[in-house]
Amino acid sequence: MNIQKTSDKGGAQTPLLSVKDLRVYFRTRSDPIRAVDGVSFDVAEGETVAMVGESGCGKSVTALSLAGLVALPAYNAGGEILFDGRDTANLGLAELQKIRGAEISYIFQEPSQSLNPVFTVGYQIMEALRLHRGNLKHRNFKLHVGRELARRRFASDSERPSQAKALHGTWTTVAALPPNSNFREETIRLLDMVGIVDPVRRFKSYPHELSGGMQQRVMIAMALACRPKLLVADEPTTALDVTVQAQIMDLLVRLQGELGMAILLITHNLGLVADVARRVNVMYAGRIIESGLADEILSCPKHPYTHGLLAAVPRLDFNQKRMNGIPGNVPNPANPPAGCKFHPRCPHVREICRREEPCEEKISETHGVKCHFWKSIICG
Amino acid sequence: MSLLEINNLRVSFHLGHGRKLQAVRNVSLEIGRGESVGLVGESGCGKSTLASAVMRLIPADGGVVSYAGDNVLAMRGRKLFDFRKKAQMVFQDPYGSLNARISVGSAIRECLDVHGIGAAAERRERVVDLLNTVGLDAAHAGRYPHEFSGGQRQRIGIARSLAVNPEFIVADEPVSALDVSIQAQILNLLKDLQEQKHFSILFIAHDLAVVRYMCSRIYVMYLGEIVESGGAEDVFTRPAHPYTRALLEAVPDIDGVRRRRPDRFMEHVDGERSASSVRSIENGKWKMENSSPSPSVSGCPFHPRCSQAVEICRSQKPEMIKAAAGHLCRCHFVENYG
Repeated sequence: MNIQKTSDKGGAQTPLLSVKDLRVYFRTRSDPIRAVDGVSFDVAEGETVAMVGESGCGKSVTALSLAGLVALPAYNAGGEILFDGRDTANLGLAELQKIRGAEISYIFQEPSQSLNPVFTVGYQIMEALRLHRGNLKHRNFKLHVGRELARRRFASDSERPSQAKALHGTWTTVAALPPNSNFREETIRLLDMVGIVDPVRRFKSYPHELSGGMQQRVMIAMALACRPKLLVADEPTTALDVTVQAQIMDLLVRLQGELGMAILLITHNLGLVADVARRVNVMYAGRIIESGLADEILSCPKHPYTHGLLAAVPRLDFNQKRMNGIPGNVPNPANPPAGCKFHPRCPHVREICRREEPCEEKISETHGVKCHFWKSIICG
Repeated sequence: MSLLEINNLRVSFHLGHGRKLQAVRNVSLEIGRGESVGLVGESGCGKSTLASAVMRLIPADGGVVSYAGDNVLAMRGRKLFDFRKKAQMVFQDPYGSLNARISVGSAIRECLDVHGIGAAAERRERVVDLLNTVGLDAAHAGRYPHEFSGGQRQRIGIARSLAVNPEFIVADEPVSALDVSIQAQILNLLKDLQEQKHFSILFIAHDLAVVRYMCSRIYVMYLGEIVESGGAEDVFTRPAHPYTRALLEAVPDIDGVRRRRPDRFMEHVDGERSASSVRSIENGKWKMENSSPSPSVSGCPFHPRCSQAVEICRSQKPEMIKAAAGHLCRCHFVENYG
């Protein structure tokens, strides 16, 4: 593959993924809702980057747009997503289908909703292999396009479970084709790789026969089937118990070591971030308000929001007298506050915050923050 | 005297073909007046089933639940109706537990109507009061659930449970569906309300840190049984059961001190493989069983996952043994810890 290398800051190696000034808006009858408003970040090869924020801050929309998975009423309103030399924000459907599942893979929060209940898990993993490596094509392309259009037209919250299906092609057309025995062996190997006991037997299991942790392992096997360069893990353990969460995170870290893919971890759990991520981007109201190395963010947060998020994590190691919540709610994206988007909830708010949105300031080479008064925030 | 006392409660589900799943096995538990007690365990361990049985939402097989001296399981008619006025529940999913077609004000008012609290004219004021108590406005009463965020909905759920001035609240995972920042608000609200109104609370959660913040006493549940109980401080600083220790170990640490921990106590969960032991799914999780109430795994139910298991654990089931004053643990080797 001929990859066009563009020079990046200070002669550093070109990152695998470079998102620049990404804007994703939602169409409404009046002004569009700016769900993602000028987000820029990089993910280097083999690196783990975390995206942290409350629900509704735009982190999932950012993740979905990486492989062109946002559908109307959401649309890409600008910016570029340079993945391995290509701008996925401006690729056609056929090109995107080659990337989805093969080079950029996803795992989602609720594995039971991402798996198709009427096919065996083995079959579903094999589908990814057959689509990208085998003779399986999105055969009924017209139907696929029709579905895609219908999906875009009626896309709503209830459509979200079908994200995974969209990733791996239309299963309705795929089902008619005979399975390929080589891929069967490969699939069993994948099931074994993600730590599923008795993979030959489990190949034939249906999703409902597996527990949440096992289902998430199946999702991981499916996502890694084609050795993607980037794995986007959107809240991969939020629906799971802590014990299972620890195992799934261990598994992801181990597989990352073996396969060398980059991981974009989307989460609201800062504890998880401390455990696995090298770099962290904190999102609020569609913007990255602080970014830096995990150590910098966790031990010396500069933005009052990051500070608040860290303080809100319930502690196990000592007895807290009082929890420190962040007062108020995430701003309504249809009607965001003027100035700094965090000012209505900020304990350090001053006049300028209500008027002017802060620009990003560099604290160190790696650590950036968008706050007028970051200098006065004391490390927590 | 304790407000609620559960003795040897058993709950099972019929699976058809004569099979039975013993979800709660001889659980005994006690909650004092004004006390907050935590119940922790992994999903599927029976904590919600226990709560539902105590609230008479599902039938129990046996045992005694005595509430201020009366057996809840034997209550009928008027008595049961009165019990439901004293005991209330806050549910996990603030999206599923509110009727989408009923305005928030009506949903809260419904409790007052059912129990005939206050004159009809006063109820409107009472609804506004309740909304204010949980940090919402009077203007919110006319709105519908979809207009609220998850945290606000959970506030509504709390307002609804407070409407009848309960003595006892079961909070079944009230914050696990919420973001950390909002979670903290709701926990503070619950704690403040408890301090003002002095109700008892049975707080069910799988997040141990949350339980530590809320509760003075903890019960740890595993496969339908209580495996450890004691004061929150004791259980968290000196966990006696290997399962409790494993649960504590598994919580990711925000300080990053314990990055990439070595393998934990837990060998595997639900049949997932580990280096040392390969077991099939039936052994790790619930096992279907015939109507016998005895556990399907012989010996200690935790032994297949316990890294310290020895012969006695496989053959003999441990009793609740005293680890310290007021601290009980169901493990043969309780004296080795602490």
